[in-house]
Amino acid sequence: MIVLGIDTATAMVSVAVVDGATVLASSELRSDRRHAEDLTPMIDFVVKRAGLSFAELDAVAVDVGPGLFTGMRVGIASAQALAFALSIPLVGVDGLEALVAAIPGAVAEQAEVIVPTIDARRREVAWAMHSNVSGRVLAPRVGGLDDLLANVRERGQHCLFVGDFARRHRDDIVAGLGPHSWNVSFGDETLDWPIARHVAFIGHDRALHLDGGARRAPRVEALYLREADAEINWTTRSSA
Amino acid sequence: MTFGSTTRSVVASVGVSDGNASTVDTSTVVLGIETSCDETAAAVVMGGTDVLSSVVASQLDEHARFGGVVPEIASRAHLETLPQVVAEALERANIDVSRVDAVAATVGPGLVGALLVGVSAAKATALALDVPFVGVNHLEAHLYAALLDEPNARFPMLFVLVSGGHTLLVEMAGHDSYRVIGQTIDDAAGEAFDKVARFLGLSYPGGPAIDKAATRGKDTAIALPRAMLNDGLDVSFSGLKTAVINYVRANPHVSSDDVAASFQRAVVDVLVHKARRAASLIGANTIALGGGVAANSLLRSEMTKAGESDGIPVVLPSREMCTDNAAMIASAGWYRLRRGEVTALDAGADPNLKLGAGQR
Repeated sequence: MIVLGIDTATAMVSVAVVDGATVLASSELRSDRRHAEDLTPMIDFVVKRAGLSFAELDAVAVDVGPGLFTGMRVGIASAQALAFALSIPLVGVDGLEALVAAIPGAVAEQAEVIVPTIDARRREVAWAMHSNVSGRVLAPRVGGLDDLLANVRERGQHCLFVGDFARRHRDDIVAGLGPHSWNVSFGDETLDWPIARHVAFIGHDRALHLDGGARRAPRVEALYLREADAEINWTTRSSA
Repeated sequence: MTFGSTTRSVVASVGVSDGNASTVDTSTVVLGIETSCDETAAAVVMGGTDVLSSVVASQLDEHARFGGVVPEIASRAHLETLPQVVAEALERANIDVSRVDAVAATVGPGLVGALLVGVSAAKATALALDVPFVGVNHLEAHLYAALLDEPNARFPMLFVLVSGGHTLLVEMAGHDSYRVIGQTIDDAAGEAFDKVARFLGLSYPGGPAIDKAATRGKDTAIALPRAMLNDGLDVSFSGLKTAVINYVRANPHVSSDDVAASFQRAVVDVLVHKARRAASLIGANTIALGGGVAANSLLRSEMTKAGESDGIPVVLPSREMCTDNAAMIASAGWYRLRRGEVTALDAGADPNLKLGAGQR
């Protein structure tokens, strides 16, 4: 099964085409708020370099967040449109899960729990908690670092932090954990952002279990984790 | 030419990449997408003027409790609604998505986060179908709403664009030739309608509410100013709005129907007066109206009357084509394609896009 993966939910824009466990082609770049400009040509490039036509894609998988609201919407809107135009299934993948999937087995084995982190701005962090034994134990949420650390302390297990937020706040995390801090480790910069190949791999596994064919108007829910700000724009109402 | 550095001009053909290019003609089917503000819209238009379907999902209810458009709420609603709106447009047009020859979307002006939902979806659709993408200026599309029923209207044309965000008098020598010759120096006409309606406690949006209240009121009940009437082609509505507010504060028992009627008459007087002046100045063969305020009953009847007495045909969009819709986007896109304009896939949105910004 050939799956196109798309990730624009963070500062990175990435696209991958995978066939089972094989990456046929992929591309990624750090996009400075130019997600919409960068994404469409990148999809074109990656699909062509995989030696495929769009008709040969079997499913689309997209990072639905958490992360940058405008960024994730660019990816989701594109993925929804591709799935519709090609009449193929669409799978939404949570970016924190994609971060965990990116951790090499040998690294993951050293920890008992894994906490993937994505910067939620306003001094908050989006995070979840995965156990090596029982899978995800805490669903994605957004909050202050203190709350995250309280959960890690309570768990009392060796914890691996991954994601750009955790690496940048390494000192705060170590200080905040106090006596527990001997029991943590941090992923390296290759695990800073969720990227499309892992989104595609997860999407591949899920698409295999989808029943039936394409839906009438494929869509996935964005994982905002926050209510919309009610900041009103008075000047752009165009239909009086 | 258009939309910054990302647009290129190619020969006037669609299906370029399959080596079997067909020219843009009356059978060319354009899927239009509009997400610039608070309406999620998709439409299928054949040959530039044959509207096979036009679907508009309004977010009015979601913004009404705030009394204005909340950008983040608008963006979220577009993302959620667009897939079913596009599917619905194709179903109502009774065509399969594979029959689409090109995809057009509003690239500006508007709310950037909202625009990007439509632009991203349109570019991805065009890529998947291997057909051209064409970015459309929302303001220009309002003109093509008027031309849907009158495609043979003659140039030079005076285009009067009146909406919640804009009040423009535009000289058009031909397609894609725009020169702004008059505009508001403060509030847009629709903005004045919204603000006065809110002050009078009428429902949101203000335009239709005032239109309705005015039918019950007397338009000579209150003397209101007509600013800058004999002063160039620019207009101003801020003083009028303030005069309404001051009058109502001083006369709290005044009938709000009378206020609505007097206010509406003042706005229409100014717009019609300036339009006649501008039309005579440029030797217009047609006056075209566009934008949400073009749905106003008094403006429609007074502008038509003025055109009759001056011997200049006035073209009005149907009421549903005045407010934001995607049929006008598909139509404007068709005219661009016919001129050989295709927008590159690395295009983004331009929230401050101006009319004629991409003129060659």
